[in-house]
Amino acid sequence: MPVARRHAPCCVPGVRSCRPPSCALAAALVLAAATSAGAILQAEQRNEVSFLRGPYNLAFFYRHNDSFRYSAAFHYHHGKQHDVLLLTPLSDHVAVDVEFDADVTRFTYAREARTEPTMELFGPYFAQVAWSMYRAIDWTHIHHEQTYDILSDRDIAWPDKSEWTARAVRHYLDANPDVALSCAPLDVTMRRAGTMMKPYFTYYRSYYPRSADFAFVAHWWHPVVYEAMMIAGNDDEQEAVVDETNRVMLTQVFLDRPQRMLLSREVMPRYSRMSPESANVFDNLHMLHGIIYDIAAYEGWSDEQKRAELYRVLEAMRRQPGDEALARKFRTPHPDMDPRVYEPWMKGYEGEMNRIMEEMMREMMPLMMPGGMPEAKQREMRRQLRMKLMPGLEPGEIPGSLHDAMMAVMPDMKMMPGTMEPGESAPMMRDAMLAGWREKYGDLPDVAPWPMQHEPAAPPVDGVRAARAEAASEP
Amino acid sequence: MSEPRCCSRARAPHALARALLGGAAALLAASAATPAAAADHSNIEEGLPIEVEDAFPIAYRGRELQGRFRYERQDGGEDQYLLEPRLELGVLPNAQVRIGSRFLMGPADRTTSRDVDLEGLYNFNQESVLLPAFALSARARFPTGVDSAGVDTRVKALATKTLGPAPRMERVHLNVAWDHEAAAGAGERSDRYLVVVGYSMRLDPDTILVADFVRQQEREHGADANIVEAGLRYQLTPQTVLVAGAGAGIGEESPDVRATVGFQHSLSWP
Repeated sequence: MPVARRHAPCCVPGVRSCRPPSCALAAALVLAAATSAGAILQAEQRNEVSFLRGPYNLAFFYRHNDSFRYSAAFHYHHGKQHDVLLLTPLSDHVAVDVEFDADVTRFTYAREARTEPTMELFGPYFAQVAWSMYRAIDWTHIHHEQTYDILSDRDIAWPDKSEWTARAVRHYLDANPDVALSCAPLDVTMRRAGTMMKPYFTYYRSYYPRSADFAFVAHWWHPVVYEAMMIAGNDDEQEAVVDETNRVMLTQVFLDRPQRMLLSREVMPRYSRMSPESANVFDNLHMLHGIIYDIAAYEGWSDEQKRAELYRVLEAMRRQPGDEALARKFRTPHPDMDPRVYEPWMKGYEGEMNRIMEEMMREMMPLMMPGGMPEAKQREMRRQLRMKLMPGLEPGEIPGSLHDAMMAVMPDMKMMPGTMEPGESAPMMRDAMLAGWREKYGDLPDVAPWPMQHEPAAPPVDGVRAARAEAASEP
Repeated sequence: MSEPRCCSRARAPHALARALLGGAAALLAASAATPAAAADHSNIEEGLPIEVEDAFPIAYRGRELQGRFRYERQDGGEDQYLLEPRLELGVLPNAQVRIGSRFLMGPADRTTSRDVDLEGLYNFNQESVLLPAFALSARARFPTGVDSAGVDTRVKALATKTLGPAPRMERVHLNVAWDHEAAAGAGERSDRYLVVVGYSMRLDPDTILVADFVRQQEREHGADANIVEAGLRYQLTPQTVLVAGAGAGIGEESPDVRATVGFQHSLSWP
């Protein structure tokens, strides 16, 4: 290769006045950097944190690969849903809901997700609008993976599972503190967030009912898989119970989907007692998904306003001092539930999630209607609330958000400052709800720890219950 | 980028096929032998498999083993083989450090083979709807290898922007680097630039397509290279990414052809 120049020289060595192109380029870069500096300083940083190292990493992937793929498919739904809602005009909601549900359902049944997607991979636009929400979601999904891995790893003796899980919880809460969700029960964090009277609340479930139902399936599956491992122990029974739980999902749950978000305390009571912090984090994540989708689907705000509201909600639902002391403040209404049986109580309106919502509404009403209201209006308000909390728009249901319905029923309802604005809280409302929770549950005894000294043997499925549940789920 | 060149020799028959197979085997063996665990196929790394790099660092506390094997037929007809193992660490939030070495083989010039590279990258921001993500990296190449002298340095500015709604996460990337040779020989440039314009998109959940155009000044005065490349990044497991790519030069001073295989593997325990 000859070194002689073939083209006109751009620089003659030794001539001081000569500026090589690289210098000009560097100067241009500095100028560009300075120009962008102000904007960059306004922007947020990625602040991603890697997963916790442990000998158990990837145990769930290798031992329960079908389940790993279902989990990844649910996160495909979660990631993609952000952009679908943020970019779809509400007028297109019917067609888009059908199309999206068909896409994510096919994706799940086909087990197309081989690896766990980040939210950004299928929702890149939302990442440009509210990156910190993705940080919170991805970080909590990593906690899902960690805790599945720990329960799946045969080399971690059964009595040691709870300590490894506690280590993963500590890492989750401490290593990424500005986006780690609260380990307090959802009863507390929902009251802190104060979203019920916001103009977007219930938009997602009302206008995208199939997609919301899909999320309810996902949020049935995530906890029951923990419970499958909790009743099976470390040995080969684990594969059998997890596989049977997956079969129930594909043959029953998807065909007759839950109409509410199921809480950990309902469908993974044993794991919730072993690690209430972890269980509460998952409830908070699953509720956060719904709130984000409500905000994304709402058309009354700009992207900037949505971001302000999203970050306000995140601030309310992330871990705060004193949360650990509240972690065990819940009851387990179905302590003997079997993850292999899709029980009728898992399907309908009645359950922990909607109990919390109804309580919050009752706690807010004295502030919004200080003069009280007639019994007929109260009945109508309860009827509208019930319809709003169920997916879809029912006959007689007032369109729009829960706030829209309440205002239609009670036009003179008094709204607190901060209730309607993006990024603003209503402190009086929040404080009234938290006081209501303390009054009702502040003295609730802590839920007892789950004994982990001895590895369990999976009990036989109650054939009568299972057959009844399967028959009830047939379309 | 293309390594130093000197003597021209006749190419061995089937050199490309043999080299790629051998390199792939060596890299996969290295991957399997390492206790491992979340490489990310959408986080585009320099040389894996093509020149373009995005503005995003590895996650804080991430540890990743990377390796690549590249065959290049240089414009004089010489074959060059490059084997490059490296370790990437998320040492601080939004910052990564990469340490590695390049082993040059084949009939082409091997000057600087076995030099040790130490590089840091800092990302300034997450992109917004209008603002790209920006990063700056700095690299020092220490003269630990063949016929090396002085510490060569590189400063590189990186920008990445997702194209609007981007249902397939389509992104454009711009890399602009300035290289300084501490001990440039007669007829060689002591300063030279590199510009890479790149594009990436998700083909399916596990595969990212990458493509770029590279414009660089070569070490020899007056020699400039233009290369067009394309490649795939495939997420094999949650913690392993395999890559493969190829490129061709445009113009007589550019390499004739190059092909790369490689991997990224997150280390999990201890």
